[in-house]
Amino acid sequence: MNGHDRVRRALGYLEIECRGPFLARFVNLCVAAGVSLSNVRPAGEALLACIPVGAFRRLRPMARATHTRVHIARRGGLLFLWRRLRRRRLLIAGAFLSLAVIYHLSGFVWFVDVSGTEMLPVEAVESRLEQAGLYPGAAKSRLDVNAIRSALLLSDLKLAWAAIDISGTRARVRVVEEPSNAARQYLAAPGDIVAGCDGQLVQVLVLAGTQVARAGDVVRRGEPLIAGRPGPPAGGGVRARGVCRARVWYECYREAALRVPRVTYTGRSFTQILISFNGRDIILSGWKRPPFAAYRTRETARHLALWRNIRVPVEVITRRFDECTESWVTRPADEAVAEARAAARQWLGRMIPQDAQVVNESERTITVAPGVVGVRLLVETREDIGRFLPYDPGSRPGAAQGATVRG
Amino acid sequence: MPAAERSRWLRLKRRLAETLDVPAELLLDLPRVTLLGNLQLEVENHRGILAFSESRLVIGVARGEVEVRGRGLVVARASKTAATVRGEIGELILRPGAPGPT
Repeated sequence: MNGHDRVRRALGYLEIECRGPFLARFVNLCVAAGVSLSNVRPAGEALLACIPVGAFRRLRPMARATHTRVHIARRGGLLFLWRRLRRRRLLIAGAFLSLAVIYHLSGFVWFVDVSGTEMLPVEAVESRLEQAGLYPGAAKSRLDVNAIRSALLLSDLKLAWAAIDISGTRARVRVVEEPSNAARQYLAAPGDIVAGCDGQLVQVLVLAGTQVARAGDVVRRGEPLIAGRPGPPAGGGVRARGVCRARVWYECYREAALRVPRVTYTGRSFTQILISFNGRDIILSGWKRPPFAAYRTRETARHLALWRNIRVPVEVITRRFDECTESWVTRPADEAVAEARAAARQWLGRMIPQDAQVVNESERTITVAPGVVGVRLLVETREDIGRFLPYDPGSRPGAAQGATVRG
Repeated sequence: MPAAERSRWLRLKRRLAETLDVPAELLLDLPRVTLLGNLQLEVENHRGILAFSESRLVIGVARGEVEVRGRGLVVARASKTAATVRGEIGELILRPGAPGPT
């Protein structure tokens, strides 16, 4: 069917049923007369075909010539759909009304997302936004994003930067807070740069302060690398700054056994459903104890929630017991070595900083005892081991609360 | 036209079509049969449908007929110039014979 036929069919078509002794001839005469036939198929002793709506009257001479009886089996297309819908005006009105309501509602902001706050509560930002005119239910046509942004920055929230994006019915507000006074003081506080871990220095770049350690020195954790000068920042105190890259080695050793317990599920299972109410369990279906000697348990619990956060203290718990057999199997040494290696790598992955550059890696496999293999991984990295240590530990933000600040 | 003369005339037309690079189906009044896998068959330059059932369809062409056998055969579209058959086509037989109906 070409594009033209598709359009005509979509607009309106008739499915006709033809009966007679010369159906093939009838089809040929229709085709010769220019009547476009489609989907011509036999249906028992009759023939079904689809024709455009306007072509029905033109079939009469061909039907007469071949003694064919033609009647309309089905009507289809937009033309007939429209005729059916005309009798259901409220349906059409309802559809248009729904579209109009959705279109109208899309002209408002319904969601305001605030992100980027650290010390400030989100509610404070939302409150300022509401005062400036941005709140759920605000009309988009009346919003001046630049004015709202300026109002936010000029408010008492002490924001360093703010951005507002409105996409559809959602407004995304991103903010960056100004450093607090305590944080400002800490960033200007004098102090030294010391080694954060053991290593051999390969590069010491001094930006402020006096160099203490040199490239090639082996340093231990806590040793000074770049010295500052005590004193107030405005009165000669110096905060040491610089980059101290060093070779650092990480070593990890893990073992794995060759004989391991293996659980094999037999396929038999048993499900228990119970209700937990105020700490008491009431079994609804199933026995109290599963009829298996060895089994594994899987449990799912569903809470009954009346409305949002309002919960009734009732839980429906479904416990499934799968019967299993436990046995000891001896696995190949390669498998045990791979498990030990993976465990060692996992630990090293947690210890090595993200910005460290791994330059060398070596592995050694040893048989510790019959049935146990061990893997020792040694990794060499290049990383910045300098850590700032202020002369006055109380100047660190959050130091009074015992928080740890790196940097 | 006697058969020998008709055959000489056909050879001449064929050579003319090759020399002038004219589509053979136009000059020689040949059908063009296009088969798409076993799902669709299009016959251009046909002479009408001679027999039609769900498993067998015969289409007349110049100097013969095209028989299609299969399952669930449907004439998807029929016009003066082309007929399109859809369904599960099993066999396609080109049967030369007397000229088909015009």
